[in-house]
Amino acid sequence: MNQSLSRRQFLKLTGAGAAAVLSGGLTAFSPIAAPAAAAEENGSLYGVCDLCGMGCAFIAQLRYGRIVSLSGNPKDQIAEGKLCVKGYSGVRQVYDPDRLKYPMKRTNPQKGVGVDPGWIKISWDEAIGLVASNLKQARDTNGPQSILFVGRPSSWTKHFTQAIGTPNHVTHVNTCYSTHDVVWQAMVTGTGRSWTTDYEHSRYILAFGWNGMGNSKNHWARAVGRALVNGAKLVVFDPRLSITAAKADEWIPIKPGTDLAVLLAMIRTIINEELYDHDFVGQYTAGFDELKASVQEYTPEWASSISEVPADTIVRIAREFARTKPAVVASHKRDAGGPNYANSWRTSQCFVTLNSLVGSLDRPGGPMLDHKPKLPDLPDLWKVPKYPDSVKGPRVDGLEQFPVAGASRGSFSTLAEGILSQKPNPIKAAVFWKHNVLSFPNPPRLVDALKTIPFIAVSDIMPTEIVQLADVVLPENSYFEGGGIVVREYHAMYPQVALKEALPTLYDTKGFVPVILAILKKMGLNDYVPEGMDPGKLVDAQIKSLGTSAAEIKGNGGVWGTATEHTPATVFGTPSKKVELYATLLKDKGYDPLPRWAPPQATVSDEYPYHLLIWRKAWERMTQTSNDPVLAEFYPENHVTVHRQTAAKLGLQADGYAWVESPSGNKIRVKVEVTEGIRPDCVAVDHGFGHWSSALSVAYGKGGNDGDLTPNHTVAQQRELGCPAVATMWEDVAVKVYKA
Amino acid sequence: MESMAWERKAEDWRWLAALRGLARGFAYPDRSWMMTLLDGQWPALLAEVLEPLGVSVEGILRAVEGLPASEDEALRVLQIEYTYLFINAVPHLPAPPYASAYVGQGWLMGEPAEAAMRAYLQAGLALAEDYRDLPDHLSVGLEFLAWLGEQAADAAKAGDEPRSRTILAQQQAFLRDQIRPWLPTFCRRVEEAARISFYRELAGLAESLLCPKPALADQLAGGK
Repeated sequence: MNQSLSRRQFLKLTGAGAAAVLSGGLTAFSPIAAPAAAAEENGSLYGVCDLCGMGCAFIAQLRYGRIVSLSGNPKDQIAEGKLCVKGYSGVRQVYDPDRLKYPMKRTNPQKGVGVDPGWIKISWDEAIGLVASNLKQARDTNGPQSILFVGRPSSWTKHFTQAIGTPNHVTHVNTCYSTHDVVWQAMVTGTGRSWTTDYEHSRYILAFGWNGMGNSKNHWARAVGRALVNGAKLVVFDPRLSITAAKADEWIPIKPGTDLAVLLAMIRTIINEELYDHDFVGQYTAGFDELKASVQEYTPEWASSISEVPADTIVRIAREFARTKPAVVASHKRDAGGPNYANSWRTSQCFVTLNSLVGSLDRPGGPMLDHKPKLPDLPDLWKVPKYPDSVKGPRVDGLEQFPVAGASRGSFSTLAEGILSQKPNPIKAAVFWKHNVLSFPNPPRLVDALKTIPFIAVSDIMPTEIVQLADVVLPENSYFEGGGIVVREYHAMYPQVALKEALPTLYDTKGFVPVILAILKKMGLNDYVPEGMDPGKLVDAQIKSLGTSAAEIKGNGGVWGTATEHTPATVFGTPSKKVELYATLLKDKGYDPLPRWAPPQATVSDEYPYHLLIWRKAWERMTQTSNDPVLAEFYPENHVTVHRQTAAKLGLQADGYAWVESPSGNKIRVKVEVTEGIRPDCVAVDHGFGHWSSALSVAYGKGGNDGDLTPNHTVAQQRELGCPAVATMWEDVAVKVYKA
Repeated sequence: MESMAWERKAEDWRWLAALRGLARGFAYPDRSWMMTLLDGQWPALLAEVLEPLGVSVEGILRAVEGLPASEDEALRVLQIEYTYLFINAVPHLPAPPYASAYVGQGWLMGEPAEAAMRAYLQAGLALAEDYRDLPDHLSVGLEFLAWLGEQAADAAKAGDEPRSRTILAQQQAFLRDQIRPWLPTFCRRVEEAARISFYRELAGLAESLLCPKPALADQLAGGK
């Protein structure tokens, strides 16, 4: 009270003189030489969408520094002048009021669902200092292996983790495409998968759980559409009538997780009936005889008994597929060959095998090998000391126990148990970069695990669930605010790069790379950040290596590279330099070198009588779009889709609510959608909902998170399942459904 | 009538200083500003402007008195509350201090941000290079209003009455078109969500000054 009195007394003494403290001067402004009387400040910039991996190049129109419209860049071979509904929504993420704006630290030591972190804005210096001191303390006290980094693999993030000396760089790929990656590595490239498929020129497109026309990929919807207009046949095996299935000539509602059986029988049919491309198989493949011998047991009748697809349908489609040229088995990420089932990697083996048998691999109308320019990378510009040997040590996700999976891939499936078991060592500090807990299987378990980590820093754009658990928040630029070039990858029929011009950064956000370099420096690891190490310089060197300049690319409509005629590959990246139908790499590492039948992991039971299917709306990109008010108005919450008969049996009404519960120990409450377009023994939940971060004011509390239903795994469980790609097995789950 | 009143007050150094004071109050709290709060300079200024107009400053005085005795702790309390109300918050961001959040479609950098940029450029100002926030932030809008008033006063002192009037018209238009349409909603949200009384009282004062009820407008017109 004395203090209060003194303040009032002081107030009386100061009187009008106080005004001097607060008058005059400019803080937020600076004068300009010539007032722009009513001048329009219009402009445009080239950019590349980052809402999905397709990366469509765009042109943004600006007025007074504000993005007022977007259009696809017509010179980009992916965008072809058009964006998808997600792409157009990207502007609203940049301008979302909920966006992370300034570095912050939490003042409430308690962490958990619904706990207010008590954020306080801090400077970048303080934020970087806090992250560096906590990482350094963990490193000095418990060794570099006590530090966890979760984020996408790039040269910069690898450099960050390796300079620190931690082996624990955990990426999302085993939730996304690790099975395809491992199989392509073993059978085709020696490195990893390619992303381009020439659907437009295909005459027969065969899909297993692939929903490229409905998922999100703008280019593929157009390319498959053009193929159909040109008379191509599209056949879709899927337990659910997806958008792609709805556009298909045939939809075959196969039993979930049994695509492998059908594929094996198709391979057998094509081989035994001599329908394969003898030239391609003879010249460019190895292991045909072994393959032929191994598939003899997989008769169409046998496959029918497993998949519930009629045997004559299997045979007919196999014949059509082999006789129609060019033909392709479509694949991308979370299709039947993606990391959805314990046997998905074998399914992916069959995809490559079938494409090879019909001779479409890297041929027009088929899956293409990469056409990417070779660009300089970090080691070409900067010499750094050898990384510590600890980077090769045992990992918290146990990935080193999966010799083909590759250290740069990571396992979301095993991370939680690794942290909780403190094996091989406790995790004392973590940095998360744009990976949210809802992207993991069984997120509640991961949250329990993360609460045991004394310090967590998170770099992100939106206040997602992982941000709620952060001790320090590092607000990141949006993709509009970062410059550079982006190599065309998802549809690269010829080498092309697209220019990214940076919109002036909003608030006090930063790109992640400068931040991690500053953290390394602050940790005293200066040798790993040599003078001049800067992401902008790498971009400059990459542009220079193309023999061009940013100005020239801009003058060329925002792209570099001109269409060239395709030269089909005759040499492949495997040990034999051929497409290895018998994959020696897999054999050497103790895995089946040939595709063989193995069942999915989950079986339905009286307690859990339904197969879980997970899918994605075309306008949904997980956390990045779920807080968009326009998309939310369009589709406010997700659904559990059930067959009409199933709904009747369970007493479920359309637009009522149901619980979906799985052996993960979790259940979600979601709105019911009733349809004829799904097998009666399946229920489908669409992804991107169930946010519990209330700081996402639009997305919060809407729908349920499908990932809650997928169990996580221990390393031992994964080893027993024997998938070389450590698949997350999103859909290899049986569930129960009941009225809410 | 009201327009005349605001034009007359717009050159008043106390009024302009009060605008400066509010602009600073809605910017992120730092130690130097907080010291003007704690040592009474900032509340004194508001009192000097508002008390003759019959606007009570008791609330904000009590709010300042209610801050923790320790300077460090007082700053921490203000910064946590500012972050919560205006930057990022759990459970929800209660009151984003941007016109675009209230006028238009709800996302930021909307038409109001563009209109603000246009007004700044027309007045011969650009946002400073080290200014990190959006053009339609309340704090920057209030600083702009104050600066315009100061420019008008300078022009009047120099005998350039036409220029003074032109600037005052710009100021009046900015207040009418860029601040008043959303300020009451913003202030309601602050008043409802604030966990310490300082920002609740600050919002109340902002509304009193910038969106006066007719009776206050009359007083302002009379200058009494």
